[in-house]
Amino acid sequence: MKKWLVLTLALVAMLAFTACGGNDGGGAAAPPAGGAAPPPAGGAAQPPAGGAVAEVEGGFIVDGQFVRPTGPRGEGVEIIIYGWNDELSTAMERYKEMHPDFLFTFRPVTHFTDWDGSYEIGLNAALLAGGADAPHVFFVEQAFVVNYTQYYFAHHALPYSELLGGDVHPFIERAQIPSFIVDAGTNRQGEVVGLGFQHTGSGFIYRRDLAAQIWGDAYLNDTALMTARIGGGSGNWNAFLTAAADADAAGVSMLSDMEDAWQAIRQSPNPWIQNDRLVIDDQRMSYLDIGKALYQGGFTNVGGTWNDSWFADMSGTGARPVLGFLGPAWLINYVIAGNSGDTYGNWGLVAAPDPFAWGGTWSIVNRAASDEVRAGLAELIYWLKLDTSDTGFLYMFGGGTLYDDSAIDYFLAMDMVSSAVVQDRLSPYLPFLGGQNMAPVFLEAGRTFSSSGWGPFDREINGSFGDWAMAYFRDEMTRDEMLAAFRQEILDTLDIRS
Amino acid sequence: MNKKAKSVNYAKYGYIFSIPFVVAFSLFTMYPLFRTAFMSFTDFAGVAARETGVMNILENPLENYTRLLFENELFQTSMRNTIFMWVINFIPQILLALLLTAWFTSRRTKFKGQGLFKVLFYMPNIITAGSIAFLFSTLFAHFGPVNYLLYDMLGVIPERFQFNQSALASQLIVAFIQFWMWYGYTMLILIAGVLGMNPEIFECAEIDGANGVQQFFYVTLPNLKTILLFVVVTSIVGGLTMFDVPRLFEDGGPRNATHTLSMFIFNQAFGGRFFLNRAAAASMIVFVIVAILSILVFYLLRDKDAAAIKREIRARKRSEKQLEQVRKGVQ
Repeated sequence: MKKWLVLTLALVAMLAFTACGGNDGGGAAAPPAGGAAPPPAGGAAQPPAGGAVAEVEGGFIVDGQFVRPTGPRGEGVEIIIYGWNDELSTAMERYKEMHPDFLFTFRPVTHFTDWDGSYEIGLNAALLAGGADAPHVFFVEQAFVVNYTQYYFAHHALPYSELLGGDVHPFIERAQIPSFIVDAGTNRQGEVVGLGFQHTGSGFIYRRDLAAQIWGDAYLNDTALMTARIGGGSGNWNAFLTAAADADAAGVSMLSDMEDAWQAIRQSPNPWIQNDRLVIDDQRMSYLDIGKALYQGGFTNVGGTWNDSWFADMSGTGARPVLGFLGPAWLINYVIAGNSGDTYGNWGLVAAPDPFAWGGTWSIVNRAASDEVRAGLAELIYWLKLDTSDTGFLYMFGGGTLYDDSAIDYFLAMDMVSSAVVQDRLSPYLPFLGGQNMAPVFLEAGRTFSSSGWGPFDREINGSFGDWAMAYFRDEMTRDEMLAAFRQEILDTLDIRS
Repeated sequence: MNKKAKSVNYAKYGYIFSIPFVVAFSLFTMYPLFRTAFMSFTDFAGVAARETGVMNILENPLENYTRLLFENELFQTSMRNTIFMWVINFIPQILLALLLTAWFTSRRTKFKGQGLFKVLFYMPNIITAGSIAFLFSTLFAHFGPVNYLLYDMLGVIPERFQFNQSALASQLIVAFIQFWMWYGYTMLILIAGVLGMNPEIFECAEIDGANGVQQFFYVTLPNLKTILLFVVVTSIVGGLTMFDVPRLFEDGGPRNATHTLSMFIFNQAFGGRFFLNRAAAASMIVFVIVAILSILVFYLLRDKDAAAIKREIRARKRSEKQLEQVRKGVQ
């Protein structure tokens, strides 16, 4: 008996060691081997079979037109949605309300923590695990979008052409979506696998009253003066630094934090990693000089970002009044407007010295989604990203009419949408900006900005460079020491040499 | 007469009852341990490896180890940080816990409201690490309450101090959080240890004229050895795997000053390029360090009297054996 039991226990232990040692990843297609190599070519386009797609003979796109199915559809089919906020999952619910025959149900999995990369970790785990709980559609933002469209997880992304059953480029051209959004959502085979719905071209959002206090009353209304003062669109930051010194002399900080400047300057057209080597290009290197001047001149409040100090600076109740923030329309809509307090209406908008974009939400459909799910997602993706009509998401979202009045607080100002055609029909003359139309500045930034510099590990590398740069600004390290420490950290964490 | 009928073998029940543990232990501890050890000698990295599960032993199986130990500065920094932050939080932690234990278990001075104080001291331990990390990052923010007190109110510092940019300040804050969270727990364990002692030995000490301090050092502490052993070993394990507070406080910053070994392992395995093999090697190194330190503590805190008795018994047995052999030889 004793021997038998011991034998059983030993067998159980042995099985435990060996049973789970097989294939961990299920039947998912193998991604490229390590390194920053592009993913293999996606499979040949397979028109989804069954469901609503079959009803229109191979796709929603028929003769270059999108055909929305009619009649009850999607009953009992659940769509799993992964996001770091509930913005789009809520919008999808709205689509259901608008289309009672759309009977698909949603299971949003929302990670509200994205600052430390935990959303990505959760998303990656879900994609790798696959199975019934894998996301059918997931949202990714600028800091890591290309990981899912062009690098490590790109093989999970279903091209929109496969989803919609036809070429999507005509729709993109019709909507006039800027190339920086399309390029970031295009895989290495030239297929669009993701699109953003926001226009995230950015500018310098500044306090007109403070500008008038520093440089005279003409600055209350004349944005051209302000553009010239900070060197908006000039491609260099000298005028910006001179303006910062003027502001400082008047007791005003030019920016809230160093990160505000780094956010804009790091958006170089060249990626950090080129031919598997870490490259610090001139634009990013220039941050060391610009940042040092800002820091050592005391031109920022150095209180950090996304914290109470940053928000206080938006209402002018921080350590010192802050002249402005560098960012896109969503920064106004979701952050500054709500925190601006008594300064609401005193703000203006001009071009930043260098064009840049910040943020954005690209929607990617998991190749593993079933045909039934794809049918529902085809409708949703078209409505969210490509529908330029008055009942399309872009128009309703941009105009703040997507939700009823009870949800109007969601839109404290207005957001900019990806489609220039739609944006033209909206009139974003914001009370927050003293009645200024924000579109021209942001659209121009989006037109001149290229996302070709976005690459894998941007979050890690940007964070590391900004962190080590602070040691140089604080005179804790020489420039060479700081650069060596940065390069070493990238080597240690990512195994990428300079 | 059948001899077997007289005795009942209860041992089988022991084996049966241990099956659930053995299964769970094998699945969730031994298997991951062996798999991690194996993985550390392989090229298991990247999304492809995670999806296919394919791993090959490296040409130089120790490559992951040598790179970590001799080339990876971040790993070395993480190790230094972890040990430093553990040491500077554990020493005051154990000292304060011992002091509070001495007070709360003193037979001479009876403190009122002991229960309340014990609860209050233990309280930080039941708050989630995330909340505490957020609390402290707010307290020590550039325009937070601490700077407000020191600079704006008291004027004892010439300018607001950037705690989040100072390596030492950040390490000290993380260490303080660990200390603050865990001294109450340590104190409770030690109090439980003291309360479990035979009160007669304290009475004897009192009759012999020992004062409170003497009782503590010559009676309480020696009898607390096994409890101290538990506290030190669990603290070593907890300290060297410190993760939540430094990650949530400043995500290992500034400039990796609060980057710990567990953060290194986590980031290597689940971030960046998914170097699971390196993460496994780092895990094994931590495992070995913890094992060595634990063995060292076991050795230092061993019961020397019991060990001496054991040695004596062994020596006696040996000499008896020798005598026996001599006798046999004579015969």
